[in-house]
Amino acid sequence: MSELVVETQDLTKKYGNFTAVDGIDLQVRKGEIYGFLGPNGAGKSTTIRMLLGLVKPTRGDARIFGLSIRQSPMEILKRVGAIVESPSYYGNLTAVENLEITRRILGADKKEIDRVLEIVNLSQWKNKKVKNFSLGMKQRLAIAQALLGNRELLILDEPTNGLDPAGIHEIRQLIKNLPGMLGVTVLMSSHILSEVELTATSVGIISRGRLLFQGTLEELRRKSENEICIEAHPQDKALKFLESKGLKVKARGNRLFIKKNSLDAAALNRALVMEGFDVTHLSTEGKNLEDIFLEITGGDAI
Amino acid sequence: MKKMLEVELLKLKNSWVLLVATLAPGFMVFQGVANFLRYYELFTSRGQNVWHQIYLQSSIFYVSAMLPVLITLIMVSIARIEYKSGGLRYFLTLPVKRSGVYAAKLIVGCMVCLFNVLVFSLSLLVAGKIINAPGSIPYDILARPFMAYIASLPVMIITFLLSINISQMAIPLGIGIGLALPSLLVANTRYWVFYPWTYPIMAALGGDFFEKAYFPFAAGFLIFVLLAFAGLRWFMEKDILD
Ligand SMILES: Nc1ncnc2c1ncn2[C@@H]1O[C@H](COP(=O)(O)OP(=O)(O)OP(=O)(O)O)[C@@H](O)[C@H]1O
Ligand SMILES: [Mg+2]
Repeated sequence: MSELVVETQDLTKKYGNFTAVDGIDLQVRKGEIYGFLGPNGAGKSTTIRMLLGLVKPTRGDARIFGLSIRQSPMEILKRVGAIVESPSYYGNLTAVENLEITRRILGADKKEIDRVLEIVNLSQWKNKKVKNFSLGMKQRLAIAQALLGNRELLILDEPTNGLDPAGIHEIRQLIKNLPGMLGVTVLMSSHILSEVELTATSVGIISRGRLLFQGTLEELRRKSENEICIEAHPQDKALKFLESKGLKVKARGNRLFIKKNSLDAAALNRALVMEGFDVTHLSTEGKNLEDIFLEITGGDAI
Repeated sequence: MKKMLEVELLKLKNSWVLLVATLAPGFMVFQGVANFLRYYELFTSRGQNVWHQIYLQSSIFYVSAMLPVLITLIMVSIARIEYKSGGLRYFLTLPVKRSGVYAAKLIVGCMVCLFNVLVFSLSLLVAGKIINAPGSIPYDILARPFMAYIASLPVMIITFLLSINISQMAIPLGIGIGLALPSLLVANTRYWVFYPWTYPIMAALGGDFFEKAYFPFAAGFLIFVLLAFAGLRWFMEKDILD
């Protein structure tokens, strides 16, 4: 088991009576890209703000590099680069001046500014005022700021939000290469499943403040094991019959679904026919991640 | 702390607030002197000191309206930089102490206000020289604006706290300017002690013999210290949600 970079216990945030984040236990391992996935309003940004000390947890604690964010925020933040609810910048300053603020606070080397500008491909715009930047350029500047000073953990809140397809592709590619290139760990939030699928190695799924799934992308995919889909008449009787055989059956529309596991579809068919049901359709189906996601989040749209 | 102050100054680069803080007091003196020259006969008919007349003409409007309005503008724009495009929520994810950020911003705000008052004094001096005011320079007219500055400390801390805690700048701007407007009226009533916006007026124009001459400074300093610490505790605890 590899080292945990981020670990939260029962992390909770209430705004008045409303629980925005409800007792979540995140675990982010060293060197991975952790996709923090959830629909709008799920509590991703609130969680990230708590990790960064912007918002005080109502309950619970967050540990980063084994240190508590309540007790040692300075030690932690030195080693963490962050984007919170994308673009944050000082518009009256140039890209270099924005980076200079970060550099001075961190006490990093002057050369760092050029290095990170190079990584995000902003060198040619470095002396332009940031308020005149396009959204994509602002986002790249934000990533450059997060990278400055060789930080070990990047916490990126919806880093591709609002970008055009080319920009999305570029940023995803950049993020994907970061652990290999710089050895950093990345915690990245998103409300787009395919984005997490394309970039992340681990996933945490949050909905209405609760963490509903956490594991590797592989583990998530494994949930998509096949189902047997049956159309048999009369349906209600067929359902009762299958359940009497100890099977877990779900009816959706005019079809019945059974987890395949080690079940033999042919044997099932034979049993139904022998019992006198009309079987008009029988197939085995794989769910895609979208279905799994919808199932996990209880149908919250993404 | 030096690093924090440098960073706060860097953030102000290209901001119009420094320009306004420089030009406005000079303009005020120019106005005052123009007024004085227009009614030269009237203002000197009883042999009044020309320097003092320039001072009076320039400072009535300056301390009663322009100074508090400028203070509001300065404090609001120092906070505005942070809220306009998420600067604060980024900056506070850097390894900085919130108390340090708060202190650096307050100090820079007060320094820009002081700068503005110094420009006013300097403008008086230059204006007096230009119109060849007779006699030696009465240095109290240079000290007075500085006293008005000290008496403005409550205005500074109140507008600072409103600005830094409220991300919509219209609110601190409205309150700051709204409270500045009636100050000259209130200054003529005995309720002025309850209205910190009158303190600079009393300090600058109150004369040496008004009762409680010490009051604007003592109360002003006390209010500043109390509110500065209360505001600091608040800022350190507050959730950054913008
Ligand atoms: N200051 C606040 N007061 C009250 N409720 C809030 C506050 N901030 C956020 N919320 C609520 O908390 C919930 C979680 O918000 P959060 O911004 O963390 O969601 P999110 O997952 O980042 O969503 P999005 O994808 O839209 O960015 C939302 O329902 C939001 O309305
Ligand atoms: Mg969000």
